[in-house]
Amino acid sequence: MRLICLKRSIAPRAWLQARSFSSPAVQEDDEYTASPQYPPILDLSYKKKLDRSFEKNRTEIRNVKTVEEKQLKLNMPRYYGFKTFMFHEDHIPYNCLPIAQHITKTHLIQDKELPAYYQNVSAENLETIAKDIEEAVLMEVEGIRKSYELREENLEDHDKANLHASAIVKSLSRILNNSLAHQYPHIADSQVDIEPRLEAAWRVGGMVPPNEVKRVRAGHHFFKQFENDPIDRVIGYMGAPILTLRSQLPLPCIISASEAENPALEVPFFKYDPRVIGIPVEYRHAANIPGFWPGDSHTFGLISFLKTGHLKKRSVVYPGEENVTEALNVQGVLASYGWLHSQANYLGFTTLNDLTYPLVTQTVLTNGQDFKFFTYQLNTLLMHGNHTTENPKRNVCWTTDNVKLYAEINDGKIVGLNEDVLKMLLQFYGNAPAERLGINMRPYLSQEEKIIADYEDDDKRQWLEREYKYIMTNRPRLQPIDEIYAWEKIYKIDHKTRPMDKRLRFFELFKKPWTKRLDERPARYIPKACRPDLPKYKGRMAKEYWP
Amino acid sequence: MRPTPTLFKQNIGWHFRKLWHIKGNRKVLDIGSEKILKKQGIATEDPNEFIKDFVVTKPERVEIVGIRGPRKTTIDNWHERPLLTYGHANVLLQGLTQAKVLTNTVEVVQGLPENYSIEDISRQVNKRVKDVILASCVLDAEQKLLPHIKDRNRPAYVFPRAYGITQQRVFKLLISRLLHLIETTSAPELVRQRHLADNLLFSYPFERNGDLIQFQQLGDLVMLAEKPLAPITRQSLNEFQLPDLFPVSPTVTLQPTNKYVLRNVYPVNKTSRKYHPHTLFINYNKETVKNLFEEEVTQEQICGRTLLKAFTAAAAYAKEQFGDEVKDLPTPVTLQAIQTDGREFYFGVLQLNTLDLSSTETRNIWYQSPVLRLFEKCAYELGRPVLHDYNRAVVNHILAFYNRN
Repeated sequence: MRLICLKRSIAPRAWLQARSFSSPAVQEDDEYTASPQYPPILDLSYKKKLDRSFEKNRTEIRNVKTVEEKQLKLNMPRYYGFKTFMFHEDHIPYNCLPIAQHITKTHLIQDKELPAYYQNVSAENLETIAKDIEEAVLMEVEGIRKSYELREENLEDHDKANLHASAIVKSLSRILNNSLAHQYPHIADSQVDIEPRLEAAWRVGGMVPPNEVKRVRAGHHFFKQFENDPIDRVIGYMGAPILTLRSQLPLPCIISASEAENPALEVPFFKYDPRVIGIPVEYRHAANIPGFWPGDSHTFGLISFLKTGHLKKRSVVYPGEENVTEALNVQGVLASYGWLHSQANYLGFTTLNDLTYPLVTQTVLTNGQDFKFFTYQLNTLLMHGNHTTENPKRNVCWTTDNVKLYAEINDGKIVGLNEDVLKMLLQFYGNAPAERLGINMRPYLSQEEKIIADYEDDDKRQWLEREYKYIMTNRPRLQPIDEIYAWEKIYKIDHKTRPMDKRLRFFELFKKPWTKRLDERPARYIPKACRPDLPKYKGRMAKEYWP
Repeated sequence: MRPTPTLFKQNIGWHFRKLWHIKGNRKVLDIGSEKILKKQGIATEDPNEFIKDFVVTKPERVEIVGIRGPRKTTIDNWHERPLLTYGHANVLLQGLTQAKVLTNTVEVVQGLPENYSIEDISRQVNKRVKDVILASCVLDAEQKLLPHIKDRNRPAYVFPRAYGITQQRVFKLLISRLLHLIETTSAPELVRQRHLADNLLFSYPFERNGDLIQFQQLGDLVMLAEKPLAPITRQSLNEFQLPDLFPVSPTVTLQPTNKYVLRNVYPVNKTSRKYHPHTLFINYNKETVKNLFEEEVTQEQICGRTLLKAFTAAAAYAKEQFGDEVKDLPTPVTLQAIQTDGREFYFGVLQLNTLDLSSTETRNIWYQSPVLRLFEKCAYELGRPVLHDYNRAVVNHILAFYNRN
């Protein structure tokens, strides 16, 4: 046996040597240089090694060719999904603004009006549109009897509020689109989504490690020194706006990239675990979905309308104007960031590879009567690891006060229609997207293949499409993750009462099921009947195309 | 996961058996306390003497009256007379023929009325329609559990469950985006006369040959207009007869119920400027719209559904407009209806002349186009979104319906 091993270890080398004789002779000039060239001297400390491996990972993801493959590559480390701190659009815990700003690196500016940029955006035809909008609002509020009322369905208050807001937003958007389409080509060419699926996932650092990590670190003689070092967390966002408008070109920037590095734009630092304010944890794959699949030509968001019905429930527990404003700010910031982040992912940027130019979006929060406007400029996506403190760029969000579109409805007439709100709406619609001259919009995507549909290989395209959609559904795995059952904890781990049992379980084999990688699974089996030309033992497993 | 594999992994039955063994043979031990007590001169007695006279007395039974009230024997909205209903998810057994008999409607000519001018959409719009179809049927990112896939030839075969865009969403996105496209390219004066509303409920009760019937229908998307649609024809209908359904009763597959509220509902207030119904957009979801038994819904039945929906909305509107007692309408009510599952489109126009459903002199008129397919296939094919055999005639029809005054 030993002899055979020895032979095997020798054989390839002998072959290599034999090969080297037949290779062309190397010129002596290439082999020697005048001054000695040494490989770089690397810092071999633990932190630096970690940084280098991280950098390698970043480069690998950056070099992946297409959007979908980048998303698969991002998810590669975890077969069962990342431990994700989930922020839902309609669940806003108490005192949530600091963490919302920290995880999105956002500086929030609240003012009575929109930023100065909008002074250049005209709001024409205000009077005609105001008349139409007045009529549409009257129609939705008093003109039409709701089917849930007629059918006496038991809907909760917040559901009713959402349905009401949704009806009004659809009417408003229809009127604005129809009135402005002849004036602005970007409105005529826009794509309207109704209740699109909005998901985003990104990495955030700077928060203290959880107790279990600290305990593990403290128990190790080397890692003791890093006991209190912050660790990265994966943040997830899920939302469903009432309506969004998309275009083929991006909105112009509000401030320049250099202004975004101004240290005066302060961002609160939230160092605690998100669970302290009641953020739930789920195991999920990182999905970045701005409402459509890659391949749609309208990739840039213009406006999104969000519903605020959840405040009906929240205001019972946390009453007061301050709490409402805070919740609206949190919702606006997270929704704007989430949408822009997922859009940026479709342009080839990821949470590890930063944006090379800013992106802008506009968000409106409404319950049908109260309107709050947000303008968000995304300057950076980097907020993991040291970037939390070292990255000088920050995202900026401008918001207005919560203003009423009308005071009340009396005798079938609208009283006190607020034209400022209409003006702001018109300015949002009138803000024309424009081409960014001299900027490569997709620097990290391949020139030839930007999405998987561009690949020539049929099998590869089909395989990647299936895997990408499978991961993005976040459906439960057929075989769930291994767990330690209570009886095993008692009789096998805490008290070793079963020494004669076969050691087959993962904790007896020193395996960690949660570290299983995405590609650590057998490929699809091809039945024998489907490969008649090959010998039985060949071609059993389908080819895989992991990025 | 099944929880049973972990049950009885650790066998502790032996411990229990041993416990019963020990506890089962318990004896009263003599620990010598009686001896010690006697030595100190304290009298002892046998405990069995006390237990002997212990009698268990039964508790006295007391009759309690009046805690529970009398049992409720009435059901809300219960009526002796049964009502035949036709709901959102029903189809008629005989489809269009039966619907015609029920609503006293005749088809004067095949196809849509002659004065409907169906014009071709421009090339630019045509290109954008293709984008809209792809964006609605393929490129939308909804991933919800789709209905079970069944193969008629292999009924026991279990297919993997697919995730994707649900049919309701395809309908919602496709129709709203096509309308968005049509409205943004139409004249603003025309567009300003229209209003779109979701999920409107229409209800119309009536009596027919001694049967009490109520149609209750949901308009998935309803276009309302400032002015009512002009009548299509004033021709005399004496020569047209209703089809004979014998041996089937015209009310077959209408569901009888005794629990009901009779009401005429037209859900738009009369004071609204855009009060008149213009076009109904109806979703045909084959998962919910079904026959009473297992047969598949036929095209004839889908056409019948379009007619009944249009009739319900038009009749409810006519009653609201002209009063409860009206029979022959002073001006006919015209209503257009488009039913689709996202791929096949059924266009129909109803002219409601009378609410007297047994009248032989005046009848209602129904026009309908043959079924039109928007495309043959729109899906991912080998990892690429494709749209095969797109048919622009469908959008031409929708545009013609939209522009109708």
